[in-house]
Amino acid sequence: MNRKKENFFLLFQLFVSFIALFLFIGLNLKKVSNYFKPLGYHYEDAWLVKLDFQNLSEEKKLEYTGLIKEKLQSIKEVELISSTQVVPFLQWGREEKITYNKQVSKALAFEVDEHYKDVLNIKLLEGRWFAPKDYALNSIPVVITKDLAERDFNNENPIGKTILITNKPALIVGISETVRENTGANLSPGFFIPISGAANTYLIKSKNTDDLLLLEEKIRKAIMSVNAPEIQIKQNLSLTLIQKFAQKMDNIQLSIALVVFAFLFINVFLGISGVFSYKLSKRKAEVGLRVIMGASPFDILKQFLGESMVLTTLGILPGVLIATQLLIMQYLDPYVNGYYGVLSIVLSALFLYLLMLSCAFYPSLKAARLSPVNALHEE
Amino acid sequence: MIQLLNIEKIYRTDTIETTALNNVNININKGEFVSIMGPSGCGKSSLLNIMGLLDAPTGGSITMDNQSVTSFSRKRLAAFRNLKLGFIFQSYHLINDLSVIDNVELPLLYRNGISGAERRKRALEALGKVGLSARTKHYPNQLSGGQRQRVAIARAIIGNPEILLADEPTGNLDSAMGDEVMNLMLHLNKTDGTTIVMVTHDEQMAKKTQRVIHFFDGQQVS
Repeated sequence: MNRKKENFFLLFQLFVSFIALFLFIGLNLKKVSNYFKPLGYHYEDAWLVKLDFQNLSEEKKLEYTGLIKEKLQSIKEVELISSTQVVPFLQWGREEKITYNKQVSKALAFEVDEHYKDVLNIKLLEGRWFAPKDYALNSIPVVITKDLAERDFNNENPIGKTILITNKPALIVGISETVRENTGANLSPGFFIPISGAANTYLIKSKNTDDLLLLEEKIRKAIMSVNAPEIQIKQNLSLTLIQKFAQKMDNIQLSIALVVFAFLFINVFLGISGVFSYKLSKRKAEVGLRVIMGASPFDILKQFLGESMVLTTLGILPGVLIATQLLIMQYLDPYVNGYYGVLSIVLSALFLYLLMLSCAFYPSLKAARLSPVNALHEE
Repeated sequence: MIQLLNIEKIYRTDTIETTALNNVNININKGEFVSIMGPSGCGKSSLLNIMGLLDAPTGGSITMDNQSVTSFSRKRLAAFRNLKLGFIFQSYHLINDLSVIDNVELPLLYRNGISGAERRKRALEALGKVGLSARTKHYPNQLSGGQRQRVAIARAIIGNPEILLADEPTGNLDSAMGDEVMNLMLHLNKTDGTTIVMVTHDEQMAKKTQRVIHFFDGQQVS
């Protein structure tokens, strides 16, 4: 059909729209679905204290750390204190190379102390959490997350196995529930190891308190009471507040993405509608002829809507093939993959079919209502 | 076969009212070959559009094949046109993006219960009748004017219509090709008994038909 050449622009627009839509849906669908998945911990009773020791020596830092923990523990609303490098919604683990049975992979290292599990109520699935007695061992005691166990150990039981964490031996003592950085984050296979050196970040488990301002003040006073003017409090607030802030940032990000998407959608809608109207206006004589030959208004409507569906199929087909290939080759991991990848392809295609139908409907209806005599004279 | 009674057609705009047809009464019998003649703007094409159920008269009634079609819905009119009428135009009106055979099949696309194979078979038969069996896969722009008009005739007759309406079918053709097309229509009228109404400016062509109706200023004068 000679019309194929004329349709090239429309087909190209559909192809580009499909790819853009696939990436947009793919990148956001998984994130949105993550909101409904458990975090793997409870942050509601947790409190963050972050200090700046400025130029204090490591020795002094360790001394003050112990003192500060003692003072904090004396607050009646404080149940437990954990020294950590990992704070949900704020600072997550760092990527490390791990080796097991000569197989090298990457996972997130969470540097925490022995109380971290209890402060955040992280569920231990097997084995135990590391304890101070383990710190003297030659191997680093490590608790791996369930998803890391499933990824790297298949059917083997990881407890008691030794792995290398950047070439240092580590003994697996327990398996914990999977954990995620925030509500929108993907699962991140990782492992907990004991924190080394003096910590400047503490997670506190609070009890029996609704008066957050009072607790904040008590914590501030407790830290000040160690009489070290070099130590400054950088953060002293509940994790719930941090979560709300992180959530807000997530919502802003999603809103911006939606606005960009809406802008693109309106442009594509207007573009395709325009192209379709133009194409049909060039085919008025054909419409008139078909009506004269016996086509009813419904036949005309059906024909042009049918054509729009065929065009959509031709336009998105290369996109579907490319997207499928990207999923198979795992090029978009971990952002778009598996079930969500397939769902993104289906939703993008469905969306474009509906878009094309809505773009084609009005021009097709107008064509169906043309007077055959007038339409024929358009040639 | 076709009865037009007190047909009136007035075109109205906000400021102007133009009477295209005024009190037209015509009766065309089954199997008749009638030509309609008259100067430009006398209402010939308006009359043919009304006979072809493409345009509604402002007044009067139309009876075709013993059915009063004046009050038919658009859907019913479309079905009636498809079954009973065939059209031939001066400028052929073929769809350039479709091959010859696809153009010919067009009326059968809108008829229920005809398979693709049956459509193709009947299109080949119709093209055989007009001597274009060898051109089925060509596109209209690869054909001469006479060949295009023969494709248009094949399209008009594929559905075995009882009435053929031709609007200056030889108007764009040279005399040899015009004769060829005219002979084809005469043959259809004679062998298949198709009723033909032809609008023409050409007196020589009109003389070959059984009856000539003259029009002037929207009225039938003879």
